[in-house]
Amino acid sequence: MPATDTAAELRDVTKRFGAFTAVDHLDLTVPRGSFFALLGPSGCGKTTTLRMMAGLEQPTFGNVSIEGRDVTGVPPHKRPVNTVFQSYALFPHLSIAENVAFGLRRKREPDVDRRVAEALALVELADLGDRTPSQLSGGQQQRVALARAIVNRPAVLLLDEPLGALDLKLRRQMQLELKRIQTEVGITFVHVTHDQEEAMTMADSVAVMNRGRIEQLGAPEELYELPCTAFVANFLGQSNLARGTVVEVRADGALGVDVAGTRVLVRSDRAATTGGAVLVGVRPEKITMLVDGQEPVPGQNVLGPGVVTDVSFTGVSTQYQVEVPGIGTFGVFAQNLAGAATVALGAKVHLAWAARFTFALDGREDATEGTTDVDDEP
Amino acid sequence: MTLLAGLGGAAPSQVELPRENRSRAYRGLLAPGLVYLVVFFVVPVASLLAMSLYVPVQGGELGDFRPALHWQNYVDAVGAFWPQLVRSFWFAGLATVAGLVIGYPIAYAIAVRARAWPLVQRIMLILVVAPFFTSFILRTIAWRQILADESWVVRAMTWLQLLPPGGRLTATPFAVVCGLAYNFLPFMVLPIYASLGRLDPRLLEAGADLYAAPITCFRRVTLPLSMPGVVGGTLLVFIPAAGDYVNAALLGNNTNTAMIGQVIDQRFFRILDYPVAASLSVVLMVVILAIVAAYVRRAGTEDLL
Amino acid sequence: MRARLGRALVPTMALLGIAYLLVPIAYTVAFGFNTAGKTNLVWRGFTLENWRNPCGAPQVCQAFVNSLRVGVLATVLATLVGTLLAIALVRYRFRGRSAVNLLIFLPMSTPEVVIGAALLAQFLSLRVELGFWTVVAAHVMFCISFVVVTVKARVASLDPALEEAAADLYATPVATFWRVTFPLLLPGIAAAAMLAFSLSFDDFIITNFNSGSFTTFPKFVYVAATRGIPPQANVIGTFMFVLAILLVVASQVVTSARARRRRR
Repeated sequence: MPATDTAAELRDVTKRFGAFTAVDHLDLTVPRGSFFALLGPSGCGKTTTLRMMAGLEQPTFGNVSIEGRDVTGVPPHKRPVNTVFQSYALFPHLSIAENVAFGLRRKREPDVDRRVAEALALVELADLGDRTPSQLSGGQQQRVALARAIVNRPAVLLLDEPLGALDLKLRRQMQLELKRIQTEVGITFVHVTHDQEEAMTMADSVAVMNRGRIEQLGAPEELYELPCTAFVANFLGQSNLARGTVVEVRADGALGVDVAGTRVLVRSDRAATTGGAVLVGVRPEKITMLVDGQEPVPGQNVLGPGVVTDVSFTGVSTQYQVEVPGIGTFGVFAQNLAGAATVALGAKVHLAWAARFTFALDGREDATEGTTDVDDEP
Repeated sequence: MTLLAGLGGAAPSQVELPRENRSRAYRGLLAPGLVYLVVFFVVPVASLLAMSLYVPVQGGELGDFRPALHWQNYVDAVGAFWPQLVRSFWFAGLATVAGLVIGYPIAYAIAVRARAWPLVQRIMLILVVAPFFTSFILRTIAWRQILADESWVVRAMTWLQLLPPGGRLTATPFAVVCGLAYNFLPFMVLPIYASLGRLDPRLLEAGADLYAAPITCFRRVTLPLSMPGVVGGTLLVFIPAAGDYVNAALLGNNTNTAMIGQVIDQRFFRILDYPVAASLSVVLMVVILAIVAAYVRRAGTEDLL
Repeated sequence: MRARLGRALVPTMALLGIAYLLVPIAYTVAFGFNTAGKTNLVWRGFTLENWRNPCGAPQVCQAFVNSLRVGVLATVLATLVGTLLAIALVRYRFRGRSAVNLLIFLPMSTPEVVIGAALLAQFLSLRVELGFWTVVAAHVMFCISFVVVTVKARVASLDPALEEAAADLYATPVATFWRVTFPLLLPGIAAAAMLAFSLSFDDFIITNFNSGSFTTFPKFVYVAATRGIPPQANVIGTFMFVLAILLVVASQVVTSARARRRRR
């Protein structure tokens, strides 16, 4: 088997269920040893992609390789891949120890008892080997599922929304645990989730998927600070998007964009296109509000004036909604440094932010892609 | 509502639609069962249909028939035995109604009233199913003893003047219907129990909250929601009761209680008149299937099983 | 006051109903202890003689053994075939699934008289000799449907992810079946087998049509009914009844013990 830096690779993979295309001409490379996240809303095809890596689904077209070897068409029990299922899928009629030993026994590996004990110690469940799954809590079951997969030292460990059933505090805890275990053991993890905070906290690289395609792939910071589609801009955190037209290309490499009469500067390497209609974007935590008399700092873009229409104190921050005529409603997050909201409801403010944080998307995009609506199905 | 869910006593979980599965393995799994059912059910029923059209061999012995398409057999058979046919459905209908009247309160008591005491529920269910554990024939015979002329039942009824003095209960239509209702009672109780068991008690609370008296709650909430169970139970009693003849044979007489099953049995084994026996069987089957088909059209085939 | 009477109505009717269900059983059990004359219709006196000599009446034990042989064989075959069918129906989606469902449902909705007659017609046409094998064949046929229904419910409640997990953990399809699917289906299969056995043991009408001179227990009792049923038949009936009740109670105790252990 050729040594390779790629743990898993999907080449031009398409999966159709009847008339419905779940995965559409997908290309994906998972680097060895990384913690890789597949992030997207439900129905985007991320679970299907995972199942194709596991062999539980077969692609309609395209190839799947694990560690350089083409495994398209190879059944799951012959692939060096293990899965942690969303429902954990622990065998109810076997003890915890026997659950964890299951894969080792099927492959007739030596030294089963020692390796099982090791795996259980890794997930901090060392004394529970004799219990049955029904006697364990949800969090414990999840860790058994992880141990059961890890003990086999697979080339790729697949996790299908494993933390979905846990409550918030436990989920946070498990996120850190999973990250720690992955670093310790060094196995490639591919983690499927719809929770963007989870993906950004845990993963080295994130692939954002929508409607069967990868919208953007990169490190969490890259994706967050420089989204290249409206979907990524809205799905990861929140974005303020405003329509404008490029009116000048400056010598220093910045683009001047006319947004409802105001000039906004964007670095050309942070813009999806250098001419025509664009969607100018900035993250809410980057914006400061200028009240009466306050002057912007050089190097800032300014929009306004607008009216504050909502003030929500969340403890860590205060979230404002500011309505700017001709542009729409912008959200502003202000860190709680003063102990209370600093700007009052109804105040007239200007919005200012450092120009280097602006990004620009193709103007033909739908600015609401990736946002959720009350009427959306859960 | 699954027709036979009640027999298991527990409400089954939703049948999960399987993930797309293109493997051919299912053929090996289906083959033995399907082949067996085709050979031992479909083909014999076809045989029966064929036999119902046979004609006697001219100058042949008793029991000799040759293949033909003599549709007249049906006319002859129904013409000669329509009283028994009608009586079979009539008795089955009475038994079903009696089963409903007796069985609904039992099911209600177990499913709703005893909800707080699971042990009591389980004991009562075992008691309901207990008759199944004795031989069908033996428990029908027991009715002959219970309704015998010297028994306390007859004596009590004569004393209460429900029965004329010297009247008997055995060998009467009453005894036959009694036996039918009794033997199939668990089939009525279990589906209703399953249906009522799925009734959310908060619906009744909602009813009370919206000004409904207990009787009204029952009429407008409980009863309609238990309808699937009632319909299921009705079918499970009516179908076998219509074709039963053991009750009629053991508890009835030869004049006014004969049911169609007895006629078929006689025609086959004593009179050796196979075509008539076969055509009567076909008529019985067609009527039953028509009733079941009407039910299936409402509920779909997945629900049957 | 009226409310209290009203509330007592349902439990009273229910208890009366259950008493109604149990009275014939009581009679059956009681008359096994009767000093019977020829007919065992009237109570003459208590005796244990029938229990000491259960095979005293001619043919009773032979009929009983026949029913057991038929029951065991039919149960094994029907449970095997029915389980395979149930797995196929729940786990696989294929064209003709509704047709198969219908085919399995039909024997359950056909009156026994018709099934018995149909099989008889078939055996007569083929000039097959009626006896043990025709009875077994008939019993397997009508038991299959009931096995399918019972096992199907159990298969449906089985998380399909469990079998996927087994495959994911290097188990071949055969290993998956024996190590995961089968052990988890076992309670349902056992229940189906018990149901099949009791249906087979107690069957009269279909057996009567297809047995020729071969006698099963229900057939023996029916034929004896005209002359007088020997009390030994009641003894056997009581024996089977007690056995069944014990089995049911035992399985209930096992399940609740298992549940209690789980809750710990």
